[in-house]
Amino acid sequence: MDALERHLTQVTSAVRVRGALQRGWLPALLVAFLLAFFVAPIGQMALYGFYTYHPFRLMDRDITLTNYLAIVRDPYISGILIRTLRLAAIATLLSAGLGYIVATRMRQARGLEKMVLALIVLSPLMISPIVLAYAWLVILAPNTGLMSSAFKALGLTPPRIMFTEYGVLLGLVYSYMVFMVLSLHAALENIDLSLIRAAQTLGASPRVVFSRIILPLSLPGLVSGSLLVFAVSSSSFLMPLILGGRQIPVLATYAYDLASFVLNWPAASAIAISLALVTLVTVVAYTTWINALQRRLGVLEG
Amino acid sequence: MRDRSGGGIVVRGATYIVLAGIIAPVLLMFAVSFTETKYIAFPPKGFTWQWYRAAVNDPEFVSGLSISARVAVISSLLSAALGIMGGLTLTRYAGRFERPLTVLFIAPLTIPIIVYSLGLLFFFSSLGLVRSLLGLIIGHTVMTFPYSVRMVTAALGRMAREVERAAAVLGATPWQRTLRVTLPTIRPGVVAAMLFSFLISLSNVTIALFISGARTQTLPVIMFQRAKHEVSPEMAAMASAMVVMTFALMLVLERRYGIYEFLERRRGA
Repeated sequence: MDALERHLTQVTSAVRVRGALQRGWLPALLVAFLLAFFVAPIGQMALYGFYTYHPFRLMDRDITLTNYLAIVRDPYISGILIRTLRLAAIATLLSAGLGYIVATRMRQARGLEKMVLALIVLSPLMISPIVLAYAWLVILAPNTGLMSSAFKALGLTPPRIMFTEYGVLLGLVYSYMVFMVLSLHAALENIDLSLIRAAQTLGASPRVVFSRIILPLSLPGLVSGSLLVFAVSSSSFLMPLILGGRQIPVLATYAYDLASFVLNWPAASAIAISLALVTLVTVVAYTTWINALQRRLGVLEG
Repeated sequence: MRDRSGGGIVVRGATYIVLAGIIAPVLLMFAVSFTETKYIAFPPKGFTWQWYRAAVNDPEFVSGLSISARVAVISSLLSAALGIMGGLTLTRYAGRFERPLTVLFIAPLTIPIIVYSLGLLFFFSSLGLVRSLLGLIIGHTVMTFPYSVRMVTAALGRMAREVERAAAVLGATPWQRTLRVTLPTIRPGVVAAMLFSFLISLSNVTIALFISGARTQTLPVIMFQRAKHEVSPEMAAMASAMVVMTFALMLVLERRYGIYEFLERRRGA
């Protein structure tokens, strides 16, 4: 048995050495593909962010920091930056609140109910964002939307939701709450039910059970879900564009405006790169947190 | 024994309200797509398929669908092919480069799609690829590539390596091993990667919004352009038709491969 194993290893490693040269092209081809069509476009854009805007020639190759500095210095752009981060933070909080409720029920549910719950929760992830935006448009559109006609039929003034921050927030929570629910669901599934029963037997109220047992034990799920929702919300594009429009610009939609209509490519580039950095920082925080957690759990188990 | 960890009835009721909020807009959209009125109305007045017929006879809708379908078919095939190469690279040949290569392969997922779309617009402008079908195909292939790599890598990880070694012992060349042993074994993973990429490509708006021209507008872009001007039963019909298409594909995925697995993969940052 041992001899056979050794023989097999020898044969395969011989094949491996012979194949190594032929195989080098496989990774090389992929790396070339990604360098050409992923790294290069992002790299070029990072460079554009340092170029100088010129109203007639699109841009000059004079290197400047203006575009990046303007994001913090220009009150209009920094206002958009702050709004983007604020809306993403509120959307994360709302998602966490609603997410706990839905994930708790999902954990309790069995059979058909569980399947239907999962299908509905996951549906915003499967359906094209333009379709989701359109579904909300049917309800919220000023004058022609269902909500507007319902209020008018009752003789009331319809509330303005579209083209306000509430509309954008609604779109964000609607689109991305699913990430929070999935994270929390995974975390809640891992909590030992007997802990909760023990607490209840000892007379703990639902509030105490939540704050002393469920919340601390599901904290990893809450943190990873929050970082995920924050990352996708702060770079969300279509929902803010359709439900917020020009009235409520966020970084993503403002960059689109600059690139497609104002044709200020340097400013658009600088904003896009900053947006990527915000996401990158969030993702790095997420990975670091997960790794630290795994190390700590590993220590506990070991 | 009943699990009462969440306070029972209150949680249940609140959950149903939240879920109603998720599903109601989509259902309302379906409902108004059947109205006989020219404007959207709820409850719908009468019942008619005329808006679906109007959509099918709408040259813009048809051309958008055909562009979308072409881009989705080609880019999902490319993405699956590159996914196989990526999976083989990571599991077989990467060696000590496995981590950096994994980071590179997954990178398109970690960059916001709006940022990549802008980059593509500038990049393709300097290459003359803006407004071309090729540009769209490249963009969608890059965007779906990380999903394909993950799915194929997972399939390769589940596969028994002994089979490959047996083939090697029996004198199969590396090519023969890959084509006649490895690929047939991981076929379900590859098909899943293709279907998933197809679905993502079909529903993506942002890339096409930035780089497609008047004659290469995908269906989602056409819907976006119209959403700015009108809310009509015909638009509701188009959007509803897209939901049906998506769920039909999702059903195929779920029936054959189980839905949860993909969604778990999709969300990873």
